[in-house]
Amino acid sequence: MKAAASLVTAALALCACRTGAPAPEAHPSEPAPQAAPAATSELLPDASRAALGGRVEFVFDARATVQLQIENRLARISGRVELVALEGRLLGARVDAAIDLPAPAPATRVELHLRDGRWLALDHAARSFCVSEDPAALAGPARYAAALLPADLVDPSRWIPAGATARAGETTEFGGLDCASLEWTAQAARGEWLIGPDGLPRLRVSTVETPGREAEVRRLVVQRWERRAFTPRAVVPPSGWTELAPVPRAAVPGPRTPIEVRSLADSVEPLRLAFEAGAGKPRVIGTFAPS
Amino acid sequence: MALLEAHPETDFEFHAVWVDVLDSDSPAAAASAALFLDDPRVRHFHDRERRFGRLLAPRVGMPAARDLLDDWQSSVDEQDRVFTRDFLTGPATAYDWIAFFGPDARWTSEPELPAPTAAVVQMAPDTWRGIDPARFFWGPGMAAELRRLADLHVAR
Repeated sequence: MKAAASLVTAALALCACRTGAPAPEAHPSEPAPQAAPAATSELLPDASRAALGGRVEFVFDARATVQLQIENRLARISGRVELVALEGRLLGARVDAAIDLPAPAPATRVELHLRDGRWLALDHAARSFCVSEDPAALAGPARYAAALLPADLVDPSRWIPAGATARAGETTEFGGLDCASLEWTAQAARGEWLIGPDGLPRLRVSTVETPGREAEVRRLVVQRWERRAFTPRAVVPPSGWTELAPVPRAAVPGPRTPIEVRSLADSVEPLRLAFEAGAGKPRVIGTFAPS
Repeated sequence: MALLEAHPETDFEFHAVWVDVLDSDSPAAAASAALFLDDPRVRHFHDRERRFGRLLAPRVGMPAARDLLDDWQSSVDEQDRVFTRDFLTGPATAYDWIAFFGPDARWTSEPELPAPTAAVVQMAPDTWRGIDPARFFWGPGMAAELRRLADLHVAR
């Protein structure tokens, strides 16, 4: 959380994890919309020096690629993305949280809650949360220690039903680690929030209004989630969760073991040999763009 | 993914080839993406030079991006904000395809990639002209088709 950590106290930020449900109208295989020259190189991997002004829009496509439009300049950021915007200016962008693990903080205590086989980790000090069926993921790459937790973020009872579900196509799920973080300056932001089936909120649209500036952040939401209004309140575990004794963060299981990915940079021979080794069995080859 | 989930006990092999076609693709992105296909039947490969993608393209009828730029009313300079320049200017490279091969399929030398018994693609049909329209699937439709193909080609 290197660059973002120093910015979040007065910033609105969010992370976009890889999607599970695609949004067909913004397909990665489609050509990019026409736009003026991009600022991609300025934004990756750390855009804190970019300090771009103006209206900021995020458009998520099927692979959680973010198309970022700033003053008609289009840039694209893929993978796990965290963006920090302040007063309408994009201050930071960090890609692929897996390469930037937050340092362990033994003094910090994380509350673990368990419901229906799903774990919720609350870090009051960092104002962060993480949900996963795999407790190892709670300390893994998808954990965002510097995330600010809105005051009543995890108390659905304080959220007021406010309408129907999101539009078709505006669907996503938090990625394979099923972990989410939000950073939020409650007093400055007004937003439209949704509660997921796990009882946790998701930000749909938020605005931060400052004189002469407006930063609008859109994120996709799962259709069935319920839209609710946001009212500040103290951090309280969601009702229905079985609260366990708070535990040190160090006690949370570590991240998953990385999966071996063999390079075909020199030759496809490793793949061919693996294919041949599987002769006698059905084989499937899937080709995907990694980001 | 639907294919693996549909047949959790079936003995087949899945080779996930992460092909660099987008400007942001990288070994790190491949390592991260691999976490989303965490199954003992899956082996992961990173195809930075698009070697396998180019081998598969003629087997599935994937056109070259450079031949479609006019259709897109776009240019390499414009598209290289999304795709790698090599992908845009080079030979056809297959990605977002899932290809099924039978137990008898052999791949004895690099250029001799066997033809798949079935293949589907998750792309926008209007954008990728030249691909058999019957091969395009998306979202829930893709999941259903993969389950159907798995029943045909994977379950034994």
